[in-house]
Amino acid sequence: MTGTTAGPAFRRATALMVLLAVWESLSRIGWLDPFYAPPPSAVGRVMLDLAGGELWPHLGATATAAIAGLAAGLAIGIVLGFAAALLPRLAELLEPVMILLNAIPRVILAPLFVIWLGIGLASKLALATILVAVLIFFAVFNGIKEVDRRLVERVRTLGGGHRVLVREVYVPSVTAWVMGNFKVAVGFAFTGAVVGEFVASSRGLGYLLQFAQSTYNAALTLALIVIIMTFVLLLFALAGRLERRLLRWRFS
Amino acid sequence: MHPTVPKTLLHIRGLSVGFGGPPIIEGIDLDVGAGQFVSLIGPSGSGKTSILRVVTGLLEPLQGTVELGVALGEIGFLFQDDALLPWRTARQNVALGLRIRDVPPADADARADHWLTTLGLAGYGDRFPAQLSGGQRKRVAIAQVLALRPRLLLMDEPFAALDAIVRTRITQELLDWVERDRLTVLLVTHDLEEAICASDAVAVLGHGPRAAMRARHAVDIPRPRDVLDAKQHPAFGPLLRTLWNDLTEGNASARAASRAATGGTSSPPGGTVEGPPPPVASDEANR
Repeated sequence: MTGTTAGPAFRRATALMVLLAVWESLSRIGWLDPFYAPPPSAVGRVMLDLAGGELWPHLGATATAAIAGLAAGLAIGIVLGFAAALLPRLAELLEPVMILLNAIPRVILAPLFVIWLGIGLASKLALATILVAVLIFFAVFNGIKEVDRRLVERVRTLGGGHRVLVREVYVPSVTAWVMGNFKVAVGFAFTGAVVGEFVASSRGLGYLLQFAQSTYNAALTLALIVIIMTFVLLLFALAGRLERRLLRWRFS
Repeated sequence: MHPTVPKTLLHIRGLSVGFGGPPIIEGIDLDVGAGQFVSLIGPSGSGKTSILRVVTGLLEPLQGTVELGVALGEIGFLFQDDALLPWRTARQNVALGLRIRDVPPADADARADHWLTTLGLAGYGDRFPAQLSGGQRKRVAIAQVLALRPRLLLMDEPFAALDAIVRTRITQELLDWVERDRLTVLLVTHDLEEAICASDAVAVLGHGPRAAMRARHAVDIPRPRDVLDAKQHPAFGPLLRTLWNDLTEGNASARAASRAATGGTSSPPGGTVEGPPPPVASDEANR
């Protein structure tokens, strides 16, 4: 991810190539059973096949659920986090629920969402949303509670009221906290979408994975894993660019 | 108390401040006349900062009154640390107070640049605080306060964290500004030399808890002043000695008091019992 200089990036690429070459060779000479560990060339062929057409509606379904869930989770987390930090009464109600939701592996809610919302997009969206929302809620809530008191006093002595404080101190401070959790949120959103598809669905990468598993198709499973990894890494790169832009005051 | 001071911009009477336990300061009286530079010295932890915080409304006093001859918005407060908004550039930080006062953005930016230039930071407007040195951040903080053209400037050990050379230079620059604009200043410091070089009068706060005002001395050194030359002035040495005695005498009596309070059998040697406070020199002489 951070291989900005040629040296480390080159070494990492080389290491990956060597690993793939060893794997391929072991398959070719028969030390690895292609049923369990199909060689990279076979996985690559499956990926090419998928990219020929079948992949895109599934990728589209998963990406839609993940990205919409990310957006909804961010929005809900930010609004609830701000509200709870500014209204102590609301915090008393919300905090126990959020702590509970934070403590459990939230993917266990997937079957419930399927019962409530059906096997379509809505249940995946809901799972991705709640995974992200709880994470972001705490980022915002803590971000506001732990805002630098000195900055609040500075702005107050310069004559700033509530509105100025929110704009100049609270929002930038919370932005820093949210951006610090943004990559984790991207990962959570994909987890929610794919796990939701595992549980019950008719399309999506999770559905394909489920299908690959039920047919003992290791090559397809590996191909899908590589595709999901690639897509998430792409989103990570975008998130990193957004982070560097929004938090450029940190990078001197 | 100071009949010849034409107008008192800051008039504090009977001020007590506490945080639950016994008051850290009690019954504080303090006046700062228009155009006067007053330094407040005292042992650390004696509540000097609390006085400034009460004046700006950041702290509620237990008792006492603060009368201001200026509006709250005309007070500039220079804090001890140089905490600027880290996500705003130097220019945005300086312009912040102006923007709060509804100065149009372009005008506020232009004035911010002017003050940055004045304080030797021309071309640094687009830097973030993380990209500036400690001295540069302090200058931005000064520009932020001076850009609002305050009539009353409160400073809380503003230069404590700077090295000696930068400190002397910035003190001189600030002094030039104060003298040019006839600014009224209350400076909290624990640096006796800084207090003498900069002020018209030095007020000494005693030991806490229940710290009271111990003395107030006029500084008979003519203005405009040069920080380094002021230390060569004949009045400098004796006043430094007086302030030193004020502070250390406070120490001795505090030790004596604590020994008496713990019921120690070893009574302090004679002469350390707190007598009447030293004579308070009138600080009208040099006005």
